[in-house]
Amino acid sequence: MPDPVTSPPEIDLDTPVLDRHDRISADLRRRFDAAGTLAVNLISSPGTGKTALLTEVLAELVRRGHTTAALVGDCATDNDAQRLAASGAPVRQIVTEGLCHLESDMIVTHLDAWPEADGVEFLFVENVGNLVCPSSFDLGEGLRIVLLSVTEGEDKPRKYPQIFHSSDLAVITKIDLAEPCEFDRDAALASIEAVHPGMEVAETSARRPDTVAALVDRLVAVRGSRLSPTPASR
Amino acid sequence: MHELSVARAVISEVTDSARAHGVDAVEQVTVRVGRLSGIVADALTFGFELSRPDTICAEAELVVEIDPVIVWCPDGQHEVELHDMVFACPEHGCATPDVRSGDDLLIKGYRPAAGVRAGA
Repeated sequence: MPDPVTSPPEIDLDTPVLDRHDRISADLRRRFDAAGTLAVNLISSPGTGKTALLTEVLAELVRRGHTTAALVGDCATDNDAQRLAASGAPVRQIVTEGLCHLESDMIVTHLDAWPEADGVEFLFVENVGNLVCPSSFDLGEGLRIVLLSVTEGEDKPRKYPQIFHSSDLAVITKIDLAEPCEFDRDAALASIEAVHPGMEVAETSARRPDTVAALVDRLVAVRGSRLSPTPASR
Repeated sequence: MHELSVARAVISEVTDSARAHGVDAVEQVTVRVGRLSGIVADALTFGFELSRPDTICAEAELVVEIDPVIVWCPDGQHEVELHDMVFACPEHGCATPDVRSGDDLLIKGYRPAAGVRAGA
C-alpha cells in the first residue's frame, strides 16, 4: 500500500463525461427501436423555421394515416406547442427555464407521463433553438436533422461544424424566400459538404406542400429502412 | 453554455468513482476534449469552477487536454490531422468523412488529495 499521506496515485477513469446521459440515451434508443418509433431530433438556430416546417410535416403524416407526436423544447413559453398543435398531432412543450439544450432524461420524464406518444411511428423532438449546445447531447434519436434557412449565411455550416458534422440530414428551409434573399445555393451546399462530406440535403418551404411531401417521403423511407429485419445484428 | 451541464457531469462521475475508491477529496481532474466534441475548454473550466463548491472537487483543479481531429484520407491511405474543420485531406484534397478521433469527451482520471483518504 502506498503511503496515503504523501502522493496518492492518479486514478484512471477513461470514462465518457456524459456516461450517465449516454446510458439514458441508449435506453431510449432501445425503447424507440422496440416500439418501431423513428425519433427525430431537430436542431437549428432560433428563427430558422423549425416550428413552421414541423407543423406541416406533422399534418402531412397525420393526413397519410401515420401516428406521430412532437415534443418541443424552449427556454420559456408554450407558444410553439400551441402552434404545432394546429397540425392535429399530439404535442407537448418542455420548458427548460433557461437551459440551452435538451437532455435525454427530460425526454424520458415527458414520455413516461405521456401514453399518447408511446409507440407512435414518428416522434419529433424540436430542440431549443441553438446550433452549439444541443450538438453534444444524444437524445436517443434515430435521425438528427440540422436546419439552415435561406435567410441565414450560406457559410453557417462552416461556422458551426460540430452540429453539421454530427447530424444525419441537413434541411434547408424557407426556399420560397431564396431569391429575395439572394441565397447562393451552391455556396450553401459546398459549405455543408466541407464539414460533412456526403451529407444528404433536403430543400424545403413550409409554404410549399410539394417540398413538405418530399421530406415526409424521406422520413417514411428512413423509418422503413430501420424496421427492415437485420438478423445478423440481432 | 452547455459546458456547465458538462462540468456538473464531470463532477458527478468523479464523485461516484471517488466514493468507490474511498477518496474524500480530489486535487486534480483531467479531461480530454476532442476539437470536434463541441466543448470549449475555457467555458468548461469556468463551469467547473462554478460547480465545484460543496463537492468532492471543491479544491480540485481541472486540467483540459485538447485532442486533435484525426481523419482517414482514402486517397493517400493515411491518417491526417484537420486544423480548420474542413473535412478534406490537406495533402490530397479528397473528402475525409471518416473521423478516427477528436470527437470524444472523456474524463481521463483524477488525483486524490494527499492525506484525506477515508479511513486513512
